[in-house]
Amino acid sequence: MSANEKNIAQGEDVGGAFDESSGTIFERVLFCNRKILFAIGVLVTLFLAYQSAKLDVNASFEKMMPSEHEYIKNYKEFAGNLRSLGNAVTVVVENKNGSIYDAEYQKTLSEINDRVFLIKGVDRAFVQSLWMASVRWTAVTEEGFDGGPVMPPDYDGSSESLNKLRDNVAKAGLKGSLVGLNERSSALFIPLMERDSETGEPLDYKAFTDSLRAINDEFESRGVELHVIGFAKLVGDLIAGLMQVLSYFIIAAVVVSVLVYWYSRCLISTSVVIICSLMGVVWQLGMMRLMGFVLDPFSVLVPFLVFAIGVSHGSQMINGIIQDIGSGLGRYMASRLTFRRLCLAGTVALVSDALGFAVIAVIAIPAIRDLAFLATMGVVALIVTNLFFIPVILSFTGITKRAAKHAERVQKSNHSVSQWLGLITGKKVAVGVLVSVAVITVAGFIYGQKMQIGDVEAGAPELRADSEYNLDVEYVQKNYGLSNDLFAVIVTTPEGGLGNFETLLEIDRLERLLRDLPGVQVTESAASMAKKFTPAGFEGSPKWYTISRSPYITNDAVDSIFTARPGLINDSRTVAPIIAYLTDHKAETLQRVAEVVEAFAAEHNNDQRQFLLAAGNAGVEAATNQTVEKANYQMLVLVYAAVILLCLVTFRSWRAVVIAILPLVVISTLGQALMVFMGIGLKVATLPVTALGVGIGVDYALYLLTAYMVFLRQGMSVRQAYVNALVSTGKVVMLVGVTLTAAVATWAWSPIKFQADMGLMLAFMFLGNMLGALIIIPALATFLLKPKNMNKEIKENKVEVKKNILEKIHAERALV
Amino acid sequence: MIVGPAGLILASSDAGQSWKQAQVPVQSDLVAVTLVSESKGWAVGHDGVILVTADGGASWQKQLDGVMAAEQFKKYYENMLKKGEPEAELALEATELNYRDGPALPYLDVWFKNESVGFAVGAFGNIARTDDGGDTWAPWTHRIDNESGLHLNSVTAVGGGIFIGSERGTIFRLNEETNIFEIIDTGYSGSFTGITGDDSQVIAYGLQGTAYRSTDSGANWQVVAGLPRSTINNAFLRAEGKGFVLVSQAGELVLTDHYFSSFDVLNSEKTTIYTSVVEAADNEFLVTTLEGVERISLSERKTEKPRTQE
Repeated sequence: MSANEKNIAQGEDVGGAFDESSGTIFERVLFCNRKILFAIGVLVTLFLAYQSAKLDVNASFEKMMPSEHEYIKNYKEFAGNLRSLGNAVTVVVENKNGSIYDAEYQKTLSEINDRVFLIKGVDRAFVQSLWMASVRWTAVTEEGFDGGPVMPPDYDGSSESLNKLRDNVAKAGLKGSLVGLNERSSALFIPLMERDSETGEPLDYKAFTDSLRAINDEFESRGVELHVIGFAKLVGDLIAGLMQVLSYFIIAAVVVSVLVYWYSRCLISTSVVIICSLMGVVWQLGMMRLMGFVLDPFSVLVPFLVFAIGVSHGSQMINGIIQDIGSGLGRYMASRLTFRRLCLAGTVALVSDALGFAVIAVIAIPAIRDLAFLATMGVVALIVTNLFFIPVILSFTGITKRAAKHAERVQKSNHSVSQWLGLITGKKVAVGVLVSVAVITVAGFIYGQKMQIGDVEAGAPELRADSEYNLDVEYVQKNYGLSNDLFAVIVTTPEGGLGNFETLLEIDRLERLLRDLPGVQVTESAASMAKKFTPAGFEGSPKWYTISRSPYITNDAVDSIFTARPGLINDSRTVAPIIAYLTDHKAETLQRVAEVVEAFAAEHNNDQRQFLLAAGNAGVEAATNQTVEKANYQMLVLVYAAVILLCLVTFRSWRAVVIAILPLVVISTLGQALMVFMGIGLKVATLPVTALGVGIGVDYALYLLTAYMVFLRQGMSVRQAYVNALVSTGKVVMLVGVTLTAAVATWAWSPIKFQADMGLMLAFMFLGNMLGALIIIPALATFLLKPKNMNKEIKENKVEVKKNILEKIHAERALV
Repeated sequence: MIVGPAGLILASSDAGQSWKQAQVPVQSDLVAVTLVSESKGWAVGHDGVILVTADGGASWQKQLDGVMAAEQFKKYYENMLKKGEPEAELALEATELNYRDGPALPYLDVWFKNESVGFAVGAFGNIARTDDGGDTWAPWTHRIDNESGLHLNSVTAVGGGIFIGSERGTIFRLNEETNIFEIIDTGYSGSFTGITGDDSQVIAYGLQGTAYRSTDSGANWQVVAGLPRSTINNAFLRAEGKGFVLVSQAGELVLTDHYFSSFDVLNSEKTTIYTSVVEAADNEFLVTTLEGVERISLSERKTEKPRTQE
């Protein structure tokens, strides 16, 4: 032994001089080259900061789909052929002052039409509105068909031409499609091109949405209001929401900084922790860009988590250094000794957090996998930026005198909170606590059984019910009568097969089944459309409202569908959707439709025609619900297996494992009850919450129980051991709990509903697990982990205890 | 009794308050139905289907379909040819043409004089007659002056004559002496969807609110003015001299007097097509639409005058 011991003693003598050859190789390399490494760290940070500044922002829906689900595979395979489900927005122009048959309104409408027409990305050939000459009326006359543009070519704003327009709208049957049912609004149907036909650049959703907003702002004063719905608008709004959430990071950072300052009372070390944690965030963002990721509504949340975890672990590091300096050590030595003490433990804690994130990756939804990967990467970055750089930087800067004094004062205080919490270890109190917890948990469990899968509120579930977008959806739904929840079945056939009578008949059969289902408003497909188009060849006679067995008649009808509604059938007549418009997107509605289609497909699929699930937003949602429900159990099993294993390795005592895990189970159960209470469903965003809560929540138990067992081994009573454990680690537990909660709680104000739900739930899990650990652990320990249980443990862990005692002696000597 | 898509037949015996679905052996779309007594009736539709009921519509049996007709009718004319009847040549040609792309073509209307004698008429001049209540059907293509194969949209008896409404302003009237449907040109250029009337007059109605009126059993026709300008799908003469009621493609129910001198219009509250109409009780109409059956009570609704024509 005692080269080390001697050297430490010597070092202390000269007040900061230190044997540079002590410690691990790693430690020596780090501290002996600290200037160079610091410089490299700064350079790397600058480089990655430059990278992160160039991060792209997008809101990809594809990433939120369960990519391995059969429905999604089918959808992706045929997406290119399903043009009716393609990218388009509907702009409804509402006349605030009355009917659309008004010269002023029509003038405004035509100007808006021209402006929208010119927005980049619009597929101009297929734009439809009252002012597009391609929108025509037709009528059967004695001579055959008669028709013309709905907007009279000689329109001059006179009441005659307005009357003519009204007649044409009636003849063309535009009510409910391009004209509102109450005639107070009319619609522009704007198909978009995914890629610019000249430059090949992908559609810029943000720019597109901004252009529409500018048009609305400009024309608002003229008595009209624009209601815009459609995928592109939704994505644009999500991007705007995501930028807003990103700005909450500043709030989170300020709140967390204040907490750390309150904890350390040292401006220097607070700044160091915050700066190093920000470095971790910058590294994470920079690496994210280098690996080709973009910021989306999920990945934007990772910096918050990384920052909070970095701050809470960094705080332990400065806590050690402050305490060492408070005890009279030089800044260099204090930093280096703290590093030596905490390097391994800190790394293990961070790795276990990373493990918690990694477990989430079992969910086969790319957005969640990305989230898991990026968070894991961020935590790994923290090992470098926080565990290594904090002591290195503090070895240069030291801490403020005030902080050192504060640390001294805290150590000598009577720890009233800890004493108070220690009361829980009284048998009567412990029984009381355990019984109340059991009652609350059972009640929570029963209540939590009512948890819904998926979303239930009307409108786009990504945004809040009262968001501008969802209000617009509601307006359009009310005034045009069609729902926004589309469930599409994909019908595939061999080349030309959709002209086949039997295929159309089978499609019609499925359509009829769907139409009879509760929750289905209307259906649309090549078959029902063929019925509508067949009479056109027979003077509109309703007796010809049929799918004819005659290939000539049927092919004629199918050709007309292809011209009039190209989305319902593809060029080669091999792919066609059956679209069911649903009254809502409740999980049971979706499941009911999915089951009917699956049963039909099982019976009717053959080599001439296949009925495949599913496309449309409701189809994707059905797949997501199924995946999420299955993944929930899978993930819970995995995450609990992981933390149980981690606890077993750490404590080597089943009693301790039970004590560590039970509070997590309680809080998870209550979390589920909270979801029911708040009307939050189990969905892509809330699925990882339990896993994250448990993965990070186990840290509290790790800190508390490790210390508790050490003190128990030293022969203390349950209460003494617990109070001492609280004095040494309780504050860290609280700091971790509060900083994590503060960071994620800011999401609750996000305009993106799933982020808000996620923030609320995570805040509950982080805070709940902290309180659960502080309150339930002592109550359980009173009965499960008493000094007499430790006797055996002591024997088993004799070697380790010896080592512990030895280390303690070392440390005490060093401090003398 | 109403017929609809996919072999749907519903019967009501309480003026449309409740409906009972019948047992039907086919899934073809049905378009017309007729009853000659409480129990006996026929229904026709796509795929050349003719169905019969003998129990008031509870169950139906198939008498003919496109496949059977293709074979039987061709054989019928081939036999006639063998017997050296030259008029069969054109008829055979027309029959072969009609069944060339399968058994698809529909019968659009059916009418029975009594429990034995009846006609079914349809697309591209398809016409068949039975004398034994439909046990056997024979083609009548050689007994109608329809060389251009016009669609035969409707068949009915008015004031002792049997009429068929067709395209291009054409009406056929059965000459009971020669047993041939003779062509009548009304002077109209569009299609007649149906024919109605009584002993004193025959009314043929059709596209774009067109109606023609004849007071001499169909020999001469005058146009009726003032109807709303959408295709009339069905019409009938109400009892007790209450005039006619018509339903249109635009979802209008039009009431008029016996002489078509004034019109009252009831517009549907929905965007829908009215396909046929009956008076279930006094001033209570049942209207069939593509979405189901609508009940229209005159006492509950206000009529308006048709908008002036341009």
